[in-house]
Amino acid sequence: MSSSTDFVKRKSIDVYFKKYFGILLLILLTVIFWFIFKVISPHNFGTPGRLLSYFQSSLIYAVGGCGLYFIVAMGLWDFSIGANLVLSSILACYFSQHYGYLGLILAPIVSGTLIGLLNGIVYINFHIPSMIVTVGLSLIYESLSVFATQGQEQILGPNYRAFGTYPYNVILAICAFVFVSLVIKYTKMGTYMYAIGSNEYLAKNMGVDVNKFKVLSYILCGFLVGIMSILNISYGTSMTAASGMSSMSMNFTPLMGTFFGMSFRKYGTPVIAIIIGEFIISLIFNGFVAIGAPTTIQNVVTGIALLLIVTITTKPVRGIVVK
Amino acid sequence: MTDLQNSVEINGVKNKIQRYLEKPIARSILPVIGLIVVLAMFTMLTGGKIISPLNITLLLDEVYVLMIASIGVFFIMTMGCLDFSQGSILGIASIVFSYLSGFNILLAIIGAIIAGAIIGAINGFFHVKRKIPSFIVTICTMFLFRGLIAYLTTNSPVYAVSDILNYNTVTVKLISTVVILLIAFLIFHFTKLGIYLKAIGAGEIGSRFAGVDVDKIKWLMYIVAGMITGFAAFINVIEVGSVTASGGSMFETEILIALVLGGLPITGGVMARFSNIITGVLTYKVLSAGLNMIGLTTQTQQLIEGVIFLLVVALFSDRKSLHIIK
Repeated sequence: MSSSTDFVKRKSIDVYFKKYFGILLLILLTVIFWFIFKVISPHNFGTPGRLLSYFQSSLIYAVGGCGLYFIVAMGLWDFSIGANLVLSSILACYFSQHYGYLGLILAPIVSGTLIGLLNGIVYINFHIPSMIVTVGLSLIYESLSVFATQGQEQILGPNYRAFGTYPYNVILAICAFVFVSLVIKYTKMGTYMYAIGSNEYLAKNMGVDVNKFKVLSYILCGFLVGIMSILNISYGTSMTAASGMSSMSMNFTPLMGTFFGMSFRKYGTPVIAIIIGEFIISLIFNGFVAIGAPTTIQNVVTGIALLLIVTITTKPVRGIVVK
Repeated sequence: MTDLQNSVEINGVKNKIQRYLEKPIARSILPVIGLIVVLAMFTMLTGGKIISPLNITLLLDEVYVLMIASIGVFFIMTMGCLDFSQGSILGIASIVFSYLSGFNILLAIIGAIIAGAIIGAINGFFHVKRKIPSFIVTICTMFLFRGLIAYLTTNSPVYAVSDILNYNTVTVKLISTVVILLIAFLIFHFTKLGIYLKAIGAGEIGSRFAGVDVDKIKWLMYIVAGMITGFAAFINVIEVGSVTASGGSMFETEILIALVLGGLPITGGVMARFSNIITGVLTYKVLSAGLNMIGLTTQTQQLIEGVIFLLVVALFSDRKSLHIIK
């Protein structure tokens, strides 16, 4: 009897350890990066006030990263979230002028969700790889953003910038994180998302309506990009239309957070991993700025960081077919 | 009842079209018909201006760099992989060429080719050795090297030696393009490598069991594609004389759209035809020039290109080889 109680106790300790191991690892990484840049640049980096500012900017990408998680967990891609972000942010500016906060909140959420729906519908009906569909569609969304603004920079009115400052930005972001966590943990979507990601054939044969859930994942991703747009335009206060695939660069920072979520999902904490992951990336960016690196080098850092994260998180299996 | 009959009829017609499109002959002819239709349409819309001798010369001037760089990507796409870093390769190779052009032109060309080969090798390493999907690797390197181009051109454009523009003659550009096309054509049709490329695209596991060193060929092709684009940088610089921060931007999308318009299936394989490069690049350039000439704005052109790109990919995608579409 006592040995079985011991076993149960040991097991629950194991479960707790496993649950918090991922978070501990991420916090350790954060401290390491903070320490490195703090040593190099002790005066311009890493004070508590600055850390809060890095955290607030990273929240924007973390919301987008959570949206992208629904797509990437299924093994799909969405390279149109940058174009979606530009278009939705522009619409948020425009509608806030006419309908105040209602326009600022509803316009990007509706447009983001509709773009997600369109991505899903085109992907399912055209039978072509999701990365190609979303690259093609982002060409279209970018041109729509230019049509909507006639090339003029859109500025958010000073009366509607609450979501760019503490605590409203944190509250909105936390609402998004709670929503994503609930969907992943307590809905069919969360379960089927992993089933489709690990073996689509099997999921289909088990009776999962794969197409329906794929479209749903694009809708959820679009919805979260809509929320990301509110945070983004409120923080940055202006947005210029994108052209010539320039929106592509905006896909990467959220994507990096998603990769953190994917690699730490075995510890059961994808959303927390995305949030801390984005914070680490924000630390690195700001660290480079603090040591005097030019802003153009940030793209190089992003590229290298993304490549390293993918390299570390994918396990190369000999003989596997990767195209 | 009528609705049911209608839907059965529509499905029947759809299936017939699908069956026709899957025939090899249709895949060879359709892109050529597409080119003729696009050319005829813009000849009508521009009142014949697009086929005036002056315009044809201008059009051909824009074709060379895209045509050369598309060859390498064609090889990669035949294997079913993708390369989205070609624009950045062109930018970096153009910068290397411009720096070295002060010493010696031949050295500059070799330097540009080596720069392209190095980026291609990096792409190949992560794709082949680390098994990361080619699109992800190349989009990362695209971003990385685009940042480097922006950094190197922060203060001012990188200028080549001033007399470099003397090389900007039709003879130099045309001969270079034709020679590279010819070499690539001979390799694709008359060597084992051409067969291997198609085999890898059609069935990677099968070709591995048939004794093809898939990893080696994939890596080699990324290096070759980088080298070819490195050479294209020579043509690029002799046309403009300098490289700015936007050097080579959106070039990768142009290559992808051009090859897809030429009828190359995204999945590669046996349906890949060498003619896809020529018809694709010409169709793309006629289409962009035509849209420009009829007075459409840049954003309308981008919108139309996006719609056409999606429709053509859907039309030519080889669904038999795609069991699961991710």
